[in-house]
Amino acid sequence: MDSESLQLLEDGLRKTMATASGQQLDAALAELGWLEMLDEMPEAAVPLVFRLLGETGAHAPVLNDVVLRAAGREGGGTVPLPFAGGSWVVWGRTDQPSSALGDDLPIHRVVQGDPVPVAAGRHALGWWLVGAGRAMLSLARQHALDRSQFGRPVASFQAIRHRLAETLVGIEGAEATLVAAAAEPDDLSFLLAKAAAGQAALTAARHCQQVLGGIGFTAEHELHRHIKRALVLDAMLGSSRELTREAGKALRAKGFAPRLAQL
Amino acid sequence: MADGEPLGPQTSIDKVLLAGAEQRLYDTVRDLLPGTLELDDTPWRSEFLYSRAATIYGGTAEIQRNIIARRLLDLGKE
Repeated sequence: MDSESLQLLEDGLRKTMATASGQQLDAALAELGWLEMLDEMPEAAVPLVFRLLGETGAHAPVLNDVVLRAAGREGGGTVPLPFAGGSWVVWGRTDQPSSALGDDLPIHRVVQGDPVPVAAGRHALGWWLVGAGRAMLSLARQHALDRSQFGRPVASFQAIRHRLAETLVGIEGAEATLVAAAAEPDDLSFLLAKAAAGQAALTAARHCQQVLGGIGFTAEHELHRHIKRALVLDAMLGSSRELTREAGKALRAKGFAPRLAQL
Repeated sequence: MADGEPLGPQTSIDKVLLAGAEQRLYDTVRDLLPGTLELDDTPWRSEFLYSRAATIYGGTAEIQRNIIARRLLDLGKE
C-alpha cells in the first residue's frame, strides 16, 4: 500500500474512531476490512489501528484477532488473555459492562485460559500505549500554552518544559523499540517493546497529569480516560514491571545480552 | 501550629515529602497487587487514583519547590 492510500486509510479510521467505540467500532472496523488487513498487511495495519485507538481514546476488542491469528485460528471471536498478577481475562465483543478500570472496557476476569502466543499481541498493545501517551502529551502541551500564571504561559516554566520533554523522550524511545522489534521479530524484542511502551505511557500519565493540574483531575476533562486506559493496557499480557523482570531472568539464563538493534 | 506560631516556608518541605510518600506508597500498592487496581472495584482503586492529586492540591509540587528554592535556599527569582 502506497503512502497516499495509507494516509486515506488513517483519515478514515480516525474519523470512525471519533464517533464509535466498543461493539459499534468493532462492527465498523469489520466493515472496513480489518480482518483482511490483518492477514494481508499486518506490518502496516497493526501499528496504524492500535496507535489510532490510543490517540483517539476509542476502544475495540481487536486484540483478540491479533492473538487468534498469531495462534493460527480464525479472527472475530474471543480468547482468554493473560493479565498482570497471573490473572486471565476475556475482552468481550459486546458492551457488557465490567468492573475494569474506566467503566467502559468489557474486560472480564476468567478462571484460567490455555497458553496463547503473546508476542504479536504485545506488539499491538505497545502501539496502543504509544498512541495513548501521545494523546496525553498533546492535551498537556496545549494546556501549558493556554494557561497563564504569574503573567506568563506555564509553558515558559522550566519545570513544565522538562516534564513534557521527558514524556516525548519516553514515547519516541518506546516507538523506536516497537519498530526495531517488528523489523527483526523475536519474542524478547516484543516483550521489551511492550515494557518500554507501558513505561512510556505511565510516565506520560504522571507528567501530563501534573502539568494539567486541577483541570486534568476533573471528570469533565478527557485526561482521566487516557490514564485509566494506559493502566489497563499496561497490565494486559504482562505489565512493564513484570516484563522487565522476565527479560532479566531470560538474560541471566542465556548468560549474555543479544544485540536486538543495530544502532 | 498548636502554639499559634505563624507557619513559614518550612511547610513546603513537609508538603513535598508527604505528597511524594503518598504517591510512592500507592505505586507500591499497584506493584504488590498486580491486576487488582485494573480489574476490581475495590477501595485500593480510588485511593490510588486520588493519591495522584497529592502533588497538585494545596499548591503544586512545582510551586513548593520554587518556595524552597527562593525562600529557604535564597536562590533569588527564577
